[in-house]
Amino acid sequence: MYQSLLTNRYLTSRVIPLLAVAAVALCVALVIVVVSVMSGFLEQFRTAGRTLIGDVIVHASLHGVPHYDDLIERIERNPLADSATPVVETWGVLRMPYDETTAVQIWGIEPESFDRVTDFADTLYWDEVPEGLERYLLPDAIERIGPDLAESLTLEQQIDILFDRMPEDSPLTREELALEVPAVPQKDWITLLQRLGRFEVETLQRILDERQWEMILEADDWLADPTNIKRDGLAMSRFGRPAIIPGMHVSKGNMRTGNGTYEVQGNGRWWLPRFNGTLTTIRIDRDGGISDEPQNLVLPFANEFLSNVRMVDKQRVFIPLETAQEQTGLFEAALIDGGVDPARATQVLIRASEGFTADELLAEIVPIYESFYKDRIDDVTDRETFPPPAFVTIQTWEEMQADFIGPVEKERMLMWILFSIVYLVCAALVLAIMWSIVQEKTRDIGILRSIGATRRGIVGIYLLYGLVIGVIGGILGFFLGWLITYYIDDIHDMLGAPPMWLGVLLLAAAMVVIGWAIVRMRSGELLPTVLGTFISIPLILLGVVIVWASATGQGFVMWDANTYYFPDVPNSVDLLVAFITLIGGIVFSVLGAFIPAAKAADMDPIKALRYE
Amino acid sequence: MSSDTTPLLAADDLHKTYRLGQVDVPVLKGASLHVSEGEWVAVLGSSGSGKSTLLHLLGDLDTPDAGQGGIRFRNRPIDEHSRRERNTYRNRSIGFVFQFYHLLPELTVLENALLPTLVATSLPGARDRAGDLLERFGLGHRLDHRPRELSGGERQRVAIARALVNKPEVLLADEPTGNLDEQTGGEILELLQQEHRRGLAIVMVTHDRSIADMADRVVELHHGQVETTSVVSR
Ligand SMILES: Nc1ncnc2c1ncn2[C@@H]1O[C@H](COP(=O)(O)OP(=O)(O)OP(=O)(O)O)[C@@H](O)[C@H]1O
Ligand SMILES: [Mg+2]
Repeated sequence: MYQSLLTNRYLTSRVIPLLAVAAVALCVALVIVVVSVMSGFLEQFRTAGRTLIGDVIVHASLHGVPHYDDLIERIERNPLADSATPVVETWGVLRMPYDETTAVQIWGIEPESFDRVTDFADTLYWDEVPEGLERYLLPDAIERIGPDLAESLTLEQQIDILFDRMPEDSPLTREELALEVPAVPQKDWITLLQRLGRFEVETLQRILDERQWEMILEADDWLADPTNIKRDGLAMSRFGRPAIIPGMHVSKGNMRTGNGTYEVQGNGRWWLPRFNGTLTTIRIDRDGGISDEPQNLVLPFANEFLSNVRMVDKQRVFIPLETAQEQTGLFEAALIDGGVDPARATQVLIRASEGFTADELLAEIVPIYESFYKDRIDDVTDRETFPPPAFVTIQTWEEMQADFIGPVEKERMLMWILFSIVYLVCAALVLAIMWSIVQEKTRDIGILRSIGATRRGIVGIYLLYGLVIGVIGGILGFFLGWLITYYIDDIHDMLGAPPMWLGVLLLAAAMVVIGWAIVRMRSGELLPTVLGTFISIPLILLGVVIVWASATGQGFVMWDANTYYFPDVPNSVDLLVAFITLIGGIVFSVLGAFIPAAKAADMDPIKALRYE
Repeated sequence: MSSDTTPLLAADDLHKTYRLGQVDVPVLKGASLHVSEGEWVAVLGSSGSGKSTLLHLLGDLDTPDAGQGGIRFRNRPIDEHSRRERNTYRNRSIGFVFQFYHLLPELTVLENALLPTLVATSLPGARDRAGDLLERFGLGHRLDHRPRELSGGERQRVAIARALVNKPEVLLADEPTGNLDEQTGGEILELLQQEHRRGLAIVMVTHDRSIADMADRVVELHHGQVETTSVVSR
């Protein structure tokens, strides 16, 4: 009973317990924020390994798995498998405009099922044609329908076009220009129209009639509706032809900015989706030799993708499955001696159903492939090309990406060590604070012992004291840490572009502090001078920096998306860690209070009373 | 006081040596003091002679050197008491008034005086008794004040109230009037005398001969031993 009275008094009649609560809260919040960001970063990194792969991968040799449709059907019948999709993988060289050439990993995919397995659609970067870039699409579209468009021009329009080309002070009249028209060849009309489309869209629109304008828009429906680029990306087609979708970093034309978005170089001129690319591949025959000449294939680009895995974004291009099968010789073919050699896929990617892990799914897929092999081996002419189960690699994404994930796992170890250090430092801090607060009460303990209080009763007071501080501080810190972590991107953005009002506020606060210090200084006190200087100097510096930064549009980028590759600071709170930290905050507060209290209670009362 | 009755509180051949680094400083060297029920003993002695030390040992706030005599309460050696019995001894049997008050700064005057009744199962009417004592000590209007708001003499009176609140059999008082002016000191002594008449045994350390003379017996600490100087007869 007297314990609660004393605990209550200890907590309410002094400032120190408030400071202790604040210290515990800050420590708990610090640990939660640090660990959440660190482990969130590693988790981002790790799960990046799963991007565009699915959960389980069936990997066959170069000549692939025949009858893969059947395999996929069998897989999708299993409740643990959500969906599966075939992939043909090969390597080649991609030649882009401006003579850029790079080696690429080519994945032939069925976009729809591939999206179901890997959420491919989410990685498509262009939701619409970026603003201003239609000036590059227009000349291309005019070129495509050039002769028809030139043919449809009326004399008036032709004069308009020529007139527009004349310098302002030209003495030529429209009548005189009309005489020039017949001498202009058709291809020059096309060039003139393209020029207008490139530099004077409005003039072009004024000169052409509605029908002609329609013709142009029909020649490229990205002009009619800029969002069609997304549709074409999903369908992997452009102008009704199979199209390439390269990773965002395949072309050097895309420059990543500090906040994770992209700028197209050359003022948009390098924008890949308006071009064609040339893929050169080499067919490899069953004996591993090179068969045929290298294949050249010119395809338009339909979009670009960003998986946020640099390796993939740099060297992967997607093309439609059938195109890839043709390039690699894995297409369905009639055999000379009758019968059909079925089309093949080099990989089958599988997504696990909600609630199942990749490992659980893996255990199901292995026997499925075995029975698939047994059932279908007789359906192919050349049995040797049907990879038996032993020759097929079936892996989870983690196994497949081991090289990529391995370092991350090591980082995780490092992170836990760091976490332990931060945790221990904070624990020691809380312990030391509580320790010194309670140690100061040794005399009180001596008094209580001298009037016959039991040791247990006395220790109870300080346990309760530590518990209250620990629980209040811990819970405050828990929520503080949660809030900071949750809004870390906003906080980061705010720091990246500090608002003017914050700077002004800080400067105003500095003025108030200085004013207070001056008023108090008159009375000859020392503290206001010291405090005023110490508080107002950093306030002024910070305020000036912020005002300057926001006035000049500069900011501080700590999480540079270019360095860390991920556009956002991770902001998910690791609940387990948060709880361990909260509990730790309480335990160390209680422990810090308990040890000196128990120590004092064990002394002869007079020794405790004499304690300095 | 006849010597054949067993004393209430008896210290025999007490030794207490403080260790200061490598040096042993013997303070008590075979001090003995018997206090009978209801007896008032005054302890005189020069500063540093070990008066406080002796009182602390009597109050079981400190332990004498091992193996050389000890303290008996009602003829039972204190070092044979269980922990619980020792707590009860400090809480009920004795009341201790420190030379330097030793109040809890976070508690009010009333709460400080009540503390002994709070830390153990309290006697009925404890609150009234504490209020009554403080009232008699002239602190009735300051019950809700904190010790830091009181003067030294006022704090001493709170400490005495605390020592008396559980109706102890012996009061061990270390210069209870040392910080008080003559008049207040006189009032306090008057109070102690009243309690004494009701049967309270008192061991009181003092420098003041005239105060010592109020006691039934005056002893003096000299060279670590207790020497009886006078027996005041009433
Ligand atoms: N904890 C201790 N450690 C070392 N020496 C001590 C300790 N407590 C007391 N002493 C020494 O023991 C001697 C007796 O001290 P004590 O306080 O009992 O004297 P006292 O008679 O009460 O003196 P005063 O009249 O000044 O209160 C002193 O010399 C003191 O320095
Ligand atoms: Mg003394």
